[in-house]
Amino acid sequence: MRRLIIAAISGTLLVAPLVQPAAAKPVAELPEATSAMPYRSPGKPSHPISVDVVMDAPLKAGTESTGRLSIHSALPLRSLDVLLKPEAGLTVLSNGLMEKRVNGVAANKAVTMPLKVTPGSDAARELRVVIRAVKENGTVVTREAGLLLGDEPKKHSKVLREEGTQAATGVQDQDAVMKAEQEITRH
Amino acid sequence: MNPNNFRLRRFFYVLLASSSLAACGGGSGGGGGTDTDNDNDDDDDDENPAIVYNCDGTGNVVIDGKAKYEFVPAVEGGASGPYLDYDAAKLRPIRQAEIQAICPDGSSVYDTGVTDDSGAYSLSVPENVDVAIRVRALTAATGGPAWDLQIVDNTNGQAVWAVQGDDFDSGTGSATVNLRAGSGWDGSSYANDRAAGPFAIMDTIYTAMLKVMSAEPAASFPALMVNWSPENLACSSDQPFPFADGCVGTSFFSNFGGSDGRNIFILGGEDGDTDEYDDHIIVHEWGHYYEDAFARSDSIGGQHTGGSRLDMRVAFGEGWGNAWSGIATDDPVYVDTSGSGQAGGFSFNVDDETETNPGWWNESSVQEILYDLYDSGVGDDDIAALDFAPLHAVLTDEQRNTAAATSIFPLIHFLKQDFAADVATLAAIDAVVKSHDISIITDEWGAGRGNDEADEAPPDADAGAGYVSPIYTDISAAVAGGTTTVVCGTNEYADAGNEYNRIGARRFMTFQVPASDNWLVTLDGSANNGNLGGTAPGNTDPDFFIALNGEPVTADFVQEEPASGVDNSAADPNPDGVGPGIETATVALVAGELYTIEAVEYLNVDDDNATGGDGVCLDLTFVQQ
Repeated sequence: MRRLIIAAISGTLLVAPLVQPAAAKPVAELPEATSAMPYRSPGKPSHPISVDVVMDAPLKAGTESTGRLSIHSALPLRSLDVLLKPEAGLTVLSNGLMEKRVNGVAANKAVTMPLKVTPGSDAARELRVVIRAVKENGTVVTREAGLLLGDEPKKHSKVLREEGTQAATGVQDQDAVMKAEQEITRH
Repeated sequence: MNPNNFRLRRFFYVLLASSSLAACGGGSGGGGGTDTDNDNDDDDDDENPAIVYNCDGTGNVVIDGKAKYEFVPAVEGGASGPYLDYDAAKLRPIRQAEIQAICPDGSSVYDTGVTDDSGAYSLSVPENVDVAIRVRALTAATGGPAWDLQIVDNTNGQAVWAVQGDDFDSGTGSATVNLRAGSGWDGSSYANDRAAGPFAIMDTIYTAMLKVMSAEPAASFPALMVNWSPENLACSSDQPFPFADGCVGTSFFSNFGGSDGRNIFILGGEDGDTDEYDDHIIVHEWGHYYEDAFARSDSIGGQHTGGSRLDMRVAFGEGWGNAWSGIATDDPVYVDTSGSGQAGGFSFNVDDETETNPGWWNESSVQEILYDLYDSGVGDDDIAALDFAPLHAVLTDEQRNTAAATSIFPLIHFLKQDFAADVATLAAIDAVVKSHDISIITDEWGAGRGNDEADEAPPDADAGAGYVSPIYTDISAAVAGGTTTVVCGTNEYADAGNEYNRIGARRFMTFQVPASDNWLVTLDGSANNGNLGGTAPGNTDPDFFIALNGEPVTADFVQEEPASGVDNSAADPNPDGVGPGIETATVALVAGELYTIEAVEYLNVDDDNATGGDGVCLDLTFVQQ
């Protein structure tokens, strides 16, 4: 009888079968899905996307500092739109990076871009990173997070999560108007 | 009678002497001319005279009436399959929509009202003015209940869809003006405005909202935009939200965050896939909105079919969406029409027990369990009849706040808790669950699952291996003791090339930390102690995710490194498990909280279902910083 044993053994806790299976892997014989139900909804976008900023040197007020910003997705992506929103007092100098589209990231799940910043003071400043990513199935996930860039040349990273609320309502003169059939009765 | 009463609409031909002469003389000829007669074209032939409306008046007259739209039912269709039955189209009231009496030039809104549930409205306008009645695909209410729903055109700047009747003179007496938004179908194609589409969508969602309000009368529905257009097609967009090119891929819900917020996109491409009348599709997607706004969804999405052995979170999310479409409409037959003339598609019955691979991983099992718990009366094939309120209570409270991921387990467990004193109902719940080869659920973690098919796990291809049960393992002792936990997963349960969201690949654990502090968490594939048949031993790309009550716990940093420890996370030269990978994170954790951690080998979820991965074991350690 097969048993699944979870036990601490020599300092190791197993979340696995105690018995190691054979090296040769039998082919799983799984029946074809017979339901006609297709994929209809991606549901809530939940796959994690992380962003790293690594500066080459400590930040100094008024001095240009270079580094790199990398984005890593747990899933392959078709493209990324990256928007950087520096806090007041932090100037981002990267050419074209302020709003950038990166295509073809599906191959390695990660992209790296150069980053140049000039802080107005030695105090830590927040750099907000907004990402809109198109997944391979065409759906879009949006993530936003703030990274606090300090005075050390260290890595600043976050797993990005969704934020925010709904936009305001439309304006009447911007309606998409179609024709209605009408009957009028005067009284 | 005042001779000014019931004036005809007045047309003012705005002419300049020079332009009249030019017209007589044949003008400048051809396109690219100058609009010297101010008739809004590029010539001077005065063929489109400018219209000047009278928008000023005194006194008031009442204009009332009803607004209706043409609803085309999606029918199952028997042997010939589903189709939109244009011959059976019915007029339905446009309920709770904003309605305006406006000057036809758009310069002023005389009055604004809301249609009632019969589509009736009453507006007041000045006497003797030009007026048109516009109904907007927008419904909103404040207080309790409250909602804010708009149907917009994502191919036109998210403009609110509206229909407008002919303009007329208000005169000095009351008038009844009935409006009808037609489908635009002329017997063989959509030859006219598809004016009914947005109102069909809005009405279907209003029906779903009413079902929620039956359980929670003062419900507050967060703002939602539903993006529909005849240009919305099943293609891939290269444009950002809201996909102005209409390539939305499929009908779907997503919370885009920020100012974009919660949105549903609905297909509308004639002869391809239109969903505006497929009410179960719309309610299914709205069900995901409900999860996001009222309840909770931990679904990781991904490809799925009814017979797949899905990650329990995906199975629940999609099963809920399907069940909810039957619950909200009180119609278990889910129909999705598509194809030329909207004369094809597929359908299934959410109350049908003949699913393939039944179990807690099966979205079809989940959908029927939920529907069976709800339904009653004629057609009910089970002994449970709880209606929607108990389900709503669990979904929006206990399941929303539990540490366990959303799945059939917390739903059933907490539902049973709520009926703890009702022996008959408890027995009915257990019977419904058992009918899908799921043994009695005793907690929110799914404890007690077995490791063979009879005990609710599919047969293991790797002899002796069980990568599915237990679903959760408590590793608190290992965390406190600084010992290593070996976590093994597999892609054995992939099907049709999809492994991203199949069971076995993602392993779940719970833990508490002995002290509130920063903790270094490491998931190490370098030892790969048990590459259980993988084609490239030693290749790993581990990932882990820590959550507290379903919310991701932000890590100070997450990076992947090769075994040498050299930081290469920026370029990630180890993207697909070429060589052993290590993932680390420093995480602020709080004593007393119950966390979950999901550990996964990327090669087991990359949907190649062919290389690497298979049975892979990873070393998980926690070190207090």
